[in-house]
Amino acid sequence: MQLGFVIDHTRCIGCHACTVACKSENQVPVGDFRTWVKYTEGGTFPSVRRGFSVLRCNQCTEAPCVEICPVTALSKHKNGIVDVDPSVCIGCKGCTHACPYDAIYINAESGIAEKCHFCEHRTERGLAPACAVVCPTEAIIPGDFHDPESRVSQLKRDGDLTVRKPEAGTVPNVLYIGVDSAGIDPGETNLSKGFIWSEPPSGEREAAQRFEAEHSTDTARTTYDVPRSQIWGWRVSGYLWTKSIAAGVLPVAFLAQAMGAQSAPIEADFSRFIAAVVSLVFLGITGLLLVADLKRPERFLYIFLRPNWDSWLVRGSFIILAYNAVLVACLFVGSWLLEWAAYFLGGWTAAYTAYLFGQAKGRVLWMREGLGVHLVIQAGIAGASILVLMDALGVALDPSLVASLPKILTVCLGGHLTAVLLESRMAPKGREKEYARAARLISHGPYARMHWGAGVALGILLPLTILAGAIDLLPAAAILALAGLLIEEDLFVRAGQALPIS
Amino acid sequence: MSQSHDESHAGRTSPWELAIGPEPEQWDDWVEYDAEAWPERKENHYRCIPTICFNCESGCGLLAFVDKSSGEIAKFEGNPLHPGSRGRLCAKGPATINQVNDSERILKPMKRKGPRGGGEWEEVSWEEAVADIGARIGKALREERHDEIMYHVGRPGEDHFVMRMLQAWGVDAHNSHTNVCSASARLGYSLSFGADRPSPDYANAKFILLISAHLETGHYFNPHAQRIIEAKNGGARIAVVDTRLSNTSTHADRWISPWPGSEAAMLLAVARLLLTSGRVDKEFMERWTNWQDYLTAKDPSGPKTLDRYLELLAEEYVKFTPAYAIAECQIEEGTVEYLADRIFEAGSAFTSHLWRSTAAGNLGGWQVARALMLLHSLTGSVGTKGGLNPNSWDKFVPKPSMAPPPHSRWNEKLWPKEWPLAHYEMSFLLPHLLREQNSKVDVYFTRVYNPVWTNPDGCSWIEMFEHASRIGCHVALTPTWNETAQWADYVLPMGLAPERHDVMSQETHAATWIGFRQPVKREYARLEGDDPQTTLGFNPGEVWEEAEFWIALTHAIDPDGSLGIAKYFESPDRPGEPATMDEYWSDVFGNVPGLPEAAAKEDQSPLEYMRRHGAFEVPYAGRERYATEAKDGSGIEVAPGDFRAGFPTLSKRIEIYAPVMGEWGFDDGVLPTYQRSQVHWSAMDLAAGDRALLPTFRLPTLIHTRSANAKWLQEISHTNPLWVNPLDANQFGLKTGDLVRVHTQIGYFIPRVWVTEGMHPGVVACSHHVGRWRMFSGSGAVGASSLVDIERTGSKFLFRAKQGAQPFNSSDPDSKRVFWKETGVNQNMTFPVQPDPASGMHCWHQKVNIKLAQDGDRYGDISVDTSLSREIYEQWKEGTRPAPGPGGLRRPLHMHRPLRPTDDAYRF
Repeated sequence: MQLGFVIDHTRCIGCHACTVACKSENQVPVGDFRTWVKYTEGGTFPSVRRGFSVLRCNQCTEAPCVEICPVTALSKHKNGIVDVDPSVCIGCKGCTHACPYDAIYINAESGIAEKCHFCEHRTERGLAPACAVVCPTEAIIPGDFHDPESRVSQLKRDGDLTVRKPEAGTVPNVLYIGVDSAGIDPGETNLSKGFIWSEPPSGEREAAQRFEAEHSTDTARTTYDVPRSQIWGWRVSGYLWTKSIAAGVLPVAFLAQAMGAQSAPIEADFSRFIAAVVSLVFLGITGLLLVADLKRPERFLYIFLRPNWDSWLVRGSFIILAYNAVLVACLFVGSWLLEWAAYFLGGWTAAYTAYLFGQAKGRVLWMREGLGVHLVIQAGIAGASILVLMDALGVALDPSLVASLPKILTVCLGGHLTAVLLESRMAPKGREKEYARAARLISHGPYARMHWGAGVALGILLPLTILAGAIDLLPAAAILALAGLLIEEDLFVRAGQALPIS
Repeated sequence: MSQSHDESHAGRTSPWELAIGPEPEQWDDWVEYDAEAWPERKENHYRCIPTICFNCESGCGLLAFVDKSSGEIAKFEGNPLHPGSRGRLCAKGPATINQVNDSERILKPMKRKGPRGGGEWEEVSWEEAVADIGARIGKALREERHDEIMYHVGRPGEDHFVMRMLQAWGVDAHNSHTNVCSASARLGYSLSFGADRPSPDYANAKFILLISAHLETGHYFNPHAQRIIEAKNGGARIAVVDTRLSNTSTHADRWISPWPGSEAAMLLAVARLLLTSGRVDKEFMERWTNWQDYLTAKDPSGPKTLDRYLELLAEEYVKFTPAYAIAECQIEEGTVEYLADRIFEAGSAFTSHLWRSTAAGNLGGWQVARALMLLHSLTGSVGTKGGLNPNSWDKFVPKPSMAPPPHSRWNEKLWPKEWPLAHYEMSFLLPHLLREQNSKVDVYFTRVYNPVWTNPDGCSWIEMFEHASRIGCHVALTPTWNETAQWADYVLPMGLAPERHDVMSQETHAATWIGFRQPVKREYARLEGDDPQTTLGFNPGEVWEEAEFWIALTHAIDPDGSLGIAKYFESPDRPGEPATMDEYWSDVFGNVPGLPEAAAKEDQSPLEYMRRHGAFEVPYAGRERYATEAKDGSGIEVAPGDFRAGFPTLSKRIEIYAPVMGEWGFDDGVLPTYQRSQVHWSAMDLAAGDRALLPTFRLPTLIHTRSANAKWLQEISHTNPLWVNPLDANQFGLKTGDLVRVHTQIGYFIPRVWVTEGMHPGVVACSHHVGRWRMFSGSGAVGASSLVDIERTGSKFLFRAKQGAQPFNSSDPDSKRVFWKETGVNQNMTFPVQPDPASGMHCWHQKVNIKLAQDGDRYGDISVDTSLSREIYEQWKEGTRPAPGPGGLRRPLHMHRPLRPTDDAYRF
């Protein structure tokens, strides 16, 4: 059984009855929407056209929200409906990013993800969803796509039906008849400063859309949409940064040690110990930030108690846990085994986020190819920079270790620069168009000044210059590199969410 | 997929595999899983009770789901048994639950403390209010001051109750909102076929010409949209005439955006083309139109043949060539030919609609309706399947058995002599009329009516309310706060859709039905075994309902029956006692044809049937009713000895030729003609910033000032930017979001600009559905209105917002989630009155001058000088042709008016 909708836009009159009936049936809070009607406008007077598109969860056959959910709160039911179990959801918001259709929101009261669940409480009793029942023109047709006799199956057979973003590979079960492509492809529209009868959303998404409007040759634009807010903010940027440090310090210390001249075991032991301490502290902060970002932090342990092994949130948590164990061990003993474990798990601690972000099918920027390697390089920069600063602050690190740091930092910064310059070419497969729009936000759009000025010039080029010519300013280079990383990671998190996806 | 509802309606069934909701036999105990508890399978038991919506005028059927565990209404769905709405609703239907649970609603009757408009109130008991108001009216009646009573209604939401009551009181006191709404279309239609509204048979039409926005608003949005889309999916073609790009136009095969007010020229060009190309249904024209009267008057010596008439008609319209229409209307080439082709192809299955739109916007707008009726006459598409019915065929108004006699008065505050043909009361002129006549209204009811906000020239209304010598006692009957109620002496909270008794019938399609609005929780209590005697106590707080209030008031006016009024609202079984709702409605429903029989089949009384079903489809008398044989020799003789009923006009034929207009001074109005509007392009100095402003369009989600208390509607729509074509925006250097000063003849308002290709160049538009304000905290919705300061200097007003919409604390956690700040601009305040000399319609469109906002201008500012509005009123009055007309009449005897007095009263 696969329940789904056919939405017939040759019948839809854009009246918003579905929106309101859904709110009434499901008590959806003001500001949140499980279904909504977007308005678009295209053409030139008098050949101008308004389009409506009824947007909502697609009850995907390959639902990315189910895959990313760390605690199996989201699942695909036997009837094909995708829904959240509110008693399990930890409010991590991963699903809101995994969804390529903006269909999931976090209920501010309960801190739990909510979405269209096809009014499953109704379908279980043989009733159609509220939106279909209310629709004045019966434009919303619910049914079972696995039943060849159903209305929706007939319509699917008979007509030229379209879906939203087939390239996302989700296999949607909401099919459209006669919808303007501008209505279902956010890449075809841009936003004007005003909406037809409501305040346009404000904030970064709007700035991004404004940028697109100014640089777009499309004439279609969005004239009504529902408000959305950025969901992952400074805690996530912070988590990326502290995790880079945690992942970098001890492995870089080992590497620098290995690259340096043979030195006294006592100094090496102390270096290992203090590097492990620093990594542990930052890993602790990373964990705190992660938990603090949960809307239901008290359910944090569900990640370990009822893990969804497909989710990189879970895999990442276990990687962090394992790395944590290595770090603790390194407080006490040194061995080649621990050294290689630190390389391996530190690397994965840095890199796993690339796989997590790869599961965020709604955020193409985050799905960037090669992100894992780039994150490892960033951990290298973070680790080397912290060690440089520790040395500058008088921590008695092994001098031979310290001597290798400029080289490591130089190489990593060079790698970072290369990766940054290659960003525009690292689109995830099938999502090139959307990725180009997102990448452009950073390279040319509202984030460009911060990116090129702070992230690249001050965070990469200036430290590289210092490293090349003014080695006595090394601590300054380290500070700049760390700040540059934080800025780049923050831009990455924010820009990733700025691109309108619905 | 949709069932055919052509002739009868047995209730909606699901077009899909999943059900639409409970079957009527399941309404007493219906189980659904609790949505909030889901996936836990918590069963909620509901009793489903039908009522009808009270938002727009469509009267769609609602089904209230009363939770048996709490006795509270949980939600509203559509009533599948309702023949008009067929179980489906627009956004405003399910949003009714917001209005019921509105944390800011008025829960107790209140009486003014301090000066009127001062914002101070004290609670008052219903008994005290009824006694005080009743005594005041009784005194006026006993002192023969009948014309000092006035009932002014915005949305009636019922069809007979108050009219009959006023008739019983013997007062010419009915005032409506018609002249700010539909007066012009009504005049045009009633001149043409004696009914003042069209009733299109969309579902069966082959070509639909909408000079309206019936896929999103208006009479009757949801029921009409269903049938228009049904026709479209069945292959009908649609053309939409609307200067701005409406939602409706998205479904048009052709969107036509003429210069506002030029529509009649376009339609006459179509008529000319049909005439000159011989594409005329001569059989229909011959029998059913008054061509002979025209020939007798205009061509007494010529041959008395239809062909001669058609020839002369073509000559009358000789200048209306397609080229003329292109230039005059600024429409695309080929439009006239397209319309002529489609209309001819569709023949008798051509239907159309015009209600407010251009008719309500422009001087002479009533001629658009007549031009349209000319097209229907030429194609014989009147009363046909897929054609256009007179609304009187598709509407049934049941009444109590005992009818009071017509009153014999003529109230010049409502029917001034300058507008003898007005359709209807010159409501929006009240402040000017009272001033001019130096007269007073002692008891003035505003009932779901908000003239300060809705009417043009609202500041003159404020001035009127401020004078005790003009308004003695202002009683605001309203479910929710509105701008006008701030100047009331009593604010009496009346029920919403599930909190009152009313009967409505609307001409939604080729059928007749009645719908019953009822207080849901009272009915719930009855079904649970109680015997409720009044609605008070079943509604939130002390919210009452009008039907019971009016009965109580009538008895307070006439406590001993000596005025002869109370008897019309007396219990049949308890002489002298007020009738109960059961008694009143039992009588009403007993008089509905077919209802007692249908009820008996279910072993119910007619009242019981209506309570349980919420609606009843009255047996339909069929189409082409004008051709009904008139065996008694009444009607018209279409062939020797063959008498047919004809139309309810003077000649009993469709009057393309209306001599009455000439007799009353409108020589240019005897035929459908075209008159240039007050906003015609030739009157605009575009380079100097003049533009035509279209201020009349509605939003699909809101309904005037009644829906601000619906949070789910407000969050979707809360601003009314000024629509500007990019060409115009470039001229002014304006971008979307910029503030702009829109100067009218009496002031200005400051909206934001919304640049859109969906707007005719040279014309700007602004919806009138938002822009709410309140003077005091507590007298309006925080999430939907701005708190304003009003600076006054003499006749000058400056409204300035102190605070926009904002989150607030209330019993509803959603109040904290208000995310919008701007609430629109109340542009109507800045409009002078512009009464059409014939129809009396306020011609809404404004000639405005656009200026960039100046330093210090703020969003939402409104500036008005009422001394200027008096000047403009005088200018428009100069164009009138005052009564008396022929026979010393105040108004032609055959012209209908609400609360019609005796014929004697028509004479001076």
